[in-house]
Amino acid sequence: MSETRRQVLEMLAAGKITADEAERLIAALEKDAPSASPSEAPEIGRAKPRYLRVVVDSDDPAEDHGPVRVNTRIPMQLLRAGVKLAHLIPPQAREHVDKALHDQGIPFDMAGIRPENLEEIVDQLSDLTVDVDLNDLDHKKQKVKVRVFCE
Amino acid sequence: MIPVAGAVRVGDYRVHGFRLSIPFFLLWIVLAPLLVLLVPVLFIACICVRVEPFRAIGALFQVLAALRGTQVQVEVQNENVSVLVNIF
Repeated sequence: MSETRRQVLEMLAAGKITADEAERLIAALEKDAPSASPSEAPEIGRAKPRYLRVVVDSDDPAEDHGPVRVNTRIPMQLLRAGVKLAHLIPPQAREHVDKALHDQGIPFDMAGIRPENLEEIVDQLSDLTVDVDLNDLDHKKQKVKVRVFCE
Repeated sequence: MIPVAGAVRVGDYRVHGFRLSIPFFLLWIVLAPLLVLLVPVLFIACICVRVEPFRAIGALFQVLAALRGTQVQVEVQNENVSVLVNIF
């Protein structure tokens, strides 16, 4: 919160100005300073994520092959293009897919996937980091580490 | 822009593995005449399933173009297996 805005609120709390006057003052302050606050500044400068990375490290002592590492880098554009392609699936085929997913216990409506919705998700993905650590799966001392993040 | 090249590396190519570069741009040149034949077929198929042909072809092209930058790497330490696929 800026100092001037704090002063306006203090004046309102002290009863020196009315709520309407405070509102007008804050509106005027926002008009005079349209630039983002310091906390919002990095949001503007932050680049959109270009790749989705999925890194899997698995170590299963029961298997002879030793640790396995899978490292994938998927362009975000591919996700966007995939959704656009999925959106072109004919309605009759979509119904079959929805039904098959429902039978598998996944209540999913393919008609709900729209490119514009994906844009919102992709924009938010820059903050996404999913770390999954699985230790001692089924007492086999298997260790699996999955990292999903954007870069 | 559609991918122009790809690279597949299996194992440590400096020791016993190999590295294969795939010049996709040559593949596109070879496939271009086939594409001319394929487009009418795609159009008819799209009309049959009630999908807008231009949107479908556009979406397919976008998927192809978006493949650039894809990288898949799999390493199995003890068996000294390493596979790396890059699309440029």
